[in-house]
Amino acid sequence: MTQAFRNADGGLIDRGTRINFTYDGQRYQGNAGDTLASALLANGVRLVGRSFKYHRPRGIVGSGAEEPNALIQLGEGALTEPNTRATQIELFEGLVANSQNAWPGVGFDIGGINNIVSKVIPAGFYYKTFMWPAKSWMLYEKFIRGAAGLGKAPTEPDPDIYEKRRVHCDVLVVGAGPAGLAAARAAGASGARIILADEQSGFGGSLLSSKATVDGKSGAQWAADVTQELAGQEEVRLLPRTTVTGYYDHNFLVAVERITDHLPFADRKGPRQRVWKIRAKQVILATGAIERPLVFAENDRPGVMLADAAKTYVNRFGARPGSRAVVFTNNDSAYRAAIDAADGGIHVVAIVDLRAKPEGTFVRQARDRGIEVIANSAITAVKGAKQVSEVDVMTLSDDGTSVSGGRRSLDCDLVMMSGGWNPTVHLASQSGAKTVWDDTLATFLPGEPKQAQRNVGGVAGQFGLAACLESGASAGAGAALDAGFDAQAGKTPAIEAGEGDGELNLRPIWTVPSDRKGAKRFHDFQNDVTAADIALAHRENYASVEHFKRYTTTGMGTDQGKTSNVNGLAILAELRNEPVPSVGHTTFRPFYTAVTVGALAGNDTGPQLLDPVRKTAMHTWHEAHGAHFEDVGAWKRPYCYLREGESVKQAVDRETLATRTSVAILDASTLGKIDIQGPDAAEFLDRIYTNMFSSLKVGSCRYGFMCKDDGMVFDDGVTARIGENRFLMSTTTGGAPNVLNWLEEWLQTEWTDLEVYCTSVTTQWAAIAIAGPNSRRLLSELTNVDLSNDAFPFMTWQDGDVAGIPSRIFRISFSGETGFEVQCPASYAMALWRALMTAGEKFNIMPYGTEAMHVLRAEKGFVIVGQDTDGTTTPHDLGMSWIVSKKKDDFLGKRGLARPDTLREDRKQLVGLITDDPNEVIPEGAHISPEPHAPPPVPMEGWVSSSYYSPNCGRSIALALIQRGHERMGESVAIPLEDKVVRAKIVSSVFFDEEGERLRG
Amino acid sequence: MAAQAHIARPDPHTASDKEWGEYLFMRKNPKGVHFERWFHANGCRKWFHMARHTVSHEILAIYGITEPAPKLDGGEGTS
Ligand SMILES: [Zn+2]
Repeated sequence: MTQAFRNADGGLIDRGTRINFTYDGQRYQGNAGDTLASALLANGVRLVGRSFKYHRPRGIVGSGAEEPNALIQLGEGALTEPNTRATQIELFEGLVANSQNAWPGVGFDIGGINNIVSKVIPAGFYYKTFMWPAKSWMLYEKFIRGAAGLGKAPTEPDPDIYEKRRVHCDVLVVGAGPAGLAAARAAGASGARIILADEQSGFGGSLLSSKATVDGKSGAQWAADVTQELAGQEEVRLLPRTTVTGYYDHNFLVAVERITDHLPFADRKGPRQRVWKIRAKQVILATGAIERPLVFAENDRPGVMLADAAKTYVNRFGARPGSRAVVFTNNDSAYRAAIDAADGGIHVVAIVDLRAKPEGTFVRQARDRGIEVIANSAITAVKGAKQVSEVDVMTLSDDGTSVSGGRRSLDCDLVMMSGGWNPTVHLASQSGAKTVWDDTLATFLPGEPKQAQRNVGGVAGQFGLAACLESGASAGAGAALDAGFDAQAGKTPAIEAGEGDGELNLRPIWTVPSDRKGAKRFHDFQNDVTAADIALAHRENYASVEHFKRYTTTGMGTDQGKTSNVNGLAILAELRNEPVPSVGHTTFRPFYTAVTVGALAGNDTGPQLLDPVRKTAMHTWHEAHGAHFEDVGAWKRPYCYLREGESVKQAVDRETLATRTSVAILDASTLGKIDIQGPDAAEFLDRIYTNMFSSLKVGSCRYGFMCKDDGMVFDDGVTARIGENRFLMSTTTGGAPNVLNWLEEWLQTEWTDLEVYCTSVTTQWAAIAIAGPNSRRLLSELTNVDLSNDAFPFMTWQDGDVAGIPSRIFRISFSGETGFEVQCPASYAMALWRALMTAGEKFNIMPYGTEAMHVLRAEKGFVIVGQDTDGTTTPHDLGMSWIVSKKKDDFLGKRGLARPDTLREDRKQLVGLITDDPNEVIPEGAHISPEPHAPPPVPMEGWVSSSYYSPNCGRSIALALIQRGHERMGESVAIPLEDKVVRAKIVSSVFFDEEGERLRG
Repeated sequence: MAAQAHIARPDPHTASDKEWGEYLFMRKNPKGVHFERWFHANGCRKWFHMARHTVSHEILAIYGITEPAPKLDGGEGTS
């Protein structure tokens, strides 16, 4: 295909470098310097998509981030990216792009039937249909999802790499148009550390698409020279292709740099995108402004384009978006676009102006060139299905609310519209500055800065080139001064007379009247929202701006309403008979444009980096012996050790039986350990635990409960008294950091009179639990310590060598068997583990994992905090009132346990459950219901917290928290599951060795 | 880790159920100056006080965990 709409010269593209690309399966050629949009226009492609709701044909409207229609599914396979804007995609060799939201293609589109039945899909359709009942959603979902889907997310993992960088600077300048360049130049000259970021590939902003001259050269050349000058300064960092997407507290801004997206795939090396986290002393926002559409009848036809976008395609890309243009405006800026279009080979048929008496520099120039100006008039209809072919023009009434007189038809294939300009206030608003309404410009401007921040150029409502250059230079110098550097604004570059005139002389007419009843007047192209939809929302009293937005979906597309928001608000304000600022606007949330998730993840991808893994000293042994790991906190713990041909359940059963039959060992290193020292350590623990620790003898240990001050169980563990003023506390694996924080909190904030020091020693000490009837015989083979019951009673500890390794031996048990726990320095732990395994061969020793540990403890009714408690469970609820001291004057939770709610009799209490069918293992988390067959919501009286098959009991067992459970022993309860109701009997929570003879034996 | 600061723990022996409930559960959510306790969990493990503006997020004062709140414009000082 030839580039029939490409001018022979002019613009910033390289006509010598041809670039091949594919769009909707068709091959085209563009040139270096093109965007996908400019290349498509140069090739005469006008129809680029179908609209979201009605599937109306749509064309390119803008030339940058504001583009609502030309959404592209870019690339294929794992590299595909949805919802990219053709206007921002730099053309590269081999680019493959597809239009979205149209099947089988934009030209013939099945969803177009929505257009015919559009009366049944008014605003609020989604809102009303999908609120209630849920069935309606089911009914429509398939249809809506299929028809309304925007792009498609890739289904394969992202093969690209990304990175993040943090950086500090003195002055961050956002936007490298004339104002931004002038600011960076003035600030940079002071030697301050500058970052200049712009979303486009080249710096210059509006200068790249303008015919204005600066300092006697073209705007683009001046921008290139200033860029060159800045690049030579040591403290200046230039970030092209970088969108500043969010402005946060303390002058923290986030930017996304697209490093390789513009390159052919073969040339892409290194990270694809980089997220910059910037902390700036001073920020200058030179984010420019976005032209606003006019809301007139059938204004969504392909070929209706923003006037400035058309100018950009002609001036910067030498691409003609049409051959015969009608310009439709309410302000002066479109006249300059009309003149440039005419210079670029487009026949400008007429300029239709909503104003009664347009005047001004560019109006005069247009008239002088012989362009017809049809003042005090409106376009009342746009004809043509897949491309504009004709517009109707009628005379506007004085108040602008109706049209009259003869209808004049103008033959054209392009409509260049301008409804004024909306400063890009997104970042300014995110920084905390409240926007202010400007009546002259009829738009929102950034308000008084709340952070060290300045606004220059278009974002500040300055549309004249001279004003932009001046305010930029002055802000640049000011920011550098405030950052502590000596700076001057310098001389403002000379520009041609007339260029400084940035006046718009705007006449806002928010809804352009038409004689055609029912003609659609779109203000939000991407989400297919019309002025009539706003009226409907208003009639149905969705008058608050937040309700209006959600009801009509205005501004909720991927473009986030860059072209639609102000028009929508102003139309709503008219309906409410209020000024726009009292209607207000919705929040400008980050991100300014969509950010790919990979960029935010940066290098933190893959299982190793996303969530760092903690491994015990015996980890490699576990790996080599079939360990099937589970995550406990950040730790990898063996769940069980799989033997050849064994299922997980078989392994768990084998380990559970072995522990009660002979001897088994568990890597218990992950349990939290906190060394607590100080003259007040015993008093401190008395206040922290519900039970007494000051009475604990040196050489003994005690199981303790910690409650929050509301009386709810928070953590548990065995704490040993190492010396008069020293304790070794153990905590749950997952709770260890929280417990340490908790101890520090009370020591530092409330009990500052206590002298106690807490240190985490979790990773310093490895721990091995030895459990089973042969545990004493095994351990005695490796140590000289007298392990007899008299010399080493239950709940005591002793220091001693085990297998020649200095260790601390605890006589404790979480399995209910005779057991010991040996702690040694982590660096010796592997040797100790191997020594135990070797010495244990004659006892048929086995390692056991966390699941066997869980089954063993459940057989004994030992609770796991966080599994059998949920933050609303007291020690009394667990049937463990014995652990709550009655002697102590105070402890954390004591007063809380006496609150009326904590004393309620219908609280959920921990009980055992045995199912009627001994092989039925209830899923953990299952609810217990007094009326299992009641219609939803089914009433519930409790839930199953732990549930296993117990090989030692030869049946399933479960623990549950159930209302009044303790007084309901023997009662039958119902557990409704998805496909059946399981019945079980309430029993004691101790299923095995109720007397505890094995434990103490 | 941040939470409202300067909440005195009532005497558990004399506090009514209501007083204890308020101490446990009731927290301010001011639009403006907020006095908070912060904890440097992954650093020096120190608790400290911060006066922070909840709208602008401006940090107005940092002071020791046992010190009373300073008098600031727009917020009440308590100890
Ligand atoms: Zn610190």
